[in-house]
Amino acid sequence: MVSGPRRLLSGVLPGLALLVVVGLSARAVSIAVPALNHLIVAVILGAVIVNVAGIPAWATAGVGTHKLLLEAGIVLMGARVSLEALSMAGPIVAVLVVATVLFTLVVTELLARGLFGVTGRMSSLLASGAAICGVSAVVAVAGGIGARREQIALAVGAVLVLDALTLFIYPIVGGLLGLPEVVFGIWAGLSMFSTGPVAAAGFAYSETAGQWATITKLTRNLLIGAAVVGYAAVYTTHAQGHAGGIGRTLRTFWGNFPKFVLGFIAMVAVANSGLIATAQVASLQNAYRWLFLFAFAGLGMSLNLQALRSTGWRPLAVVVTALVTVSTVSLGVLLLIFP
Amino acid sequence: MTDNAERPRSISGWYRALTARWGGVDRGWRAVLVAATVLLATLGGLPVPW
Repeated sequence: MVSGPRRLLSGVLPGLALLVVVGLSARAVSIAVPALNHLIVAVILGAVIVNVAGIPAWATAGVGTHKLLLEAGIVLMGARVSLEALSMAGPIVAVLVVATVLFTLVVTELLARGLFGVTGRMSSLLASGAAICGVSAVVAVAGGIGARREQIALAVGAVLVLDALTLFIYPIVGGLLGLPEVVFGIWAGLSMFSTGPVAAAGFAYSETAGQWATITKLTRNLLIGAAVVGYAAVYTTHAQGHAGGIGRTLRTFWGNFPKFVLGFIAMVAVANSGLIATAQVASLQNAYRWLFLFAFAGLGMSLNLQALRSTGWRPLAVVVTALVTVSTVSLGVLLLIFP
Repeated sequence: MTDNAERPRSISGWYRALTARWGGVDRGWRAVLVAATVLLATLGGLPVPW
């Protein structure tokens, strides 16, 4: 038990401290200039640090915890989610998510293979990244279908470029179109790629938009296990003519299942059962705001332009075309449903 | 685990062996643990200012 705390002190804490410093600086900037959203400032400060000075070796492990902070924040966000609102719009969101994921998978595969000459595993990596949950989906599906390292790097690079762009573009477009908070949140949750940028764009728009963006994105993330199992089955059948047993399929599904979503559901249940007092809910809300702030500082530090520049134009063209198509169609459908 | 020598000797060992079979304690579970800690601290009366 000695190695655990020691490893924590020497490994994770310095980088965590850097995230806290960047987060607090972003908060200070947004207090001084209220027009600037603290989450967007945190992302920008993080991106400036990584591209100007780079992340020092002592901070790498701690900065890498930004996804953990984001997921812990999302779990706590469950305390602010009303079961009533969820039960009213939830079924519509669930149907929209399944329809959008299927639509995105088909559109991206067709675009990649038909228009841009990107075939085989590469097109499937791009499709899963665009359709489900960005980098996590690319890596998970890559494991299931046996993709090569350079294919994974290219697909992840393409997803990250779009994450960086949409994070800033979506709130601007939403503001220009005057989209209602719920519509903007669901739209971002349906069409943007990775969970971090979805939450950042949502909460940069408004608190309500952030909650709906995150809930919609979580619903999308739940499909990652199904996508991995589905793609693995397709590629295994094509390559070897057999699929793994039901036990192996379940293990693959569960291994890729985002477990923090279970924590989020438990938190929604606890908060809606009346066990948590109003003051405590306010504290939990503040706790997840801090966690998001530090997480987004780390998200900014993952936007390394040098690394992103090596992404080839073909994968990028595929995901840009897929994003514009899916984004336009999903917004049109949302405006019809929520006029 | 057919060999007795490989059997875990503690509760944490059994827990690790069982969870390893189903993917181990990954980042998602660690996030739940962090959130649960914050929840317990808040229920215990720790106010979090913004």
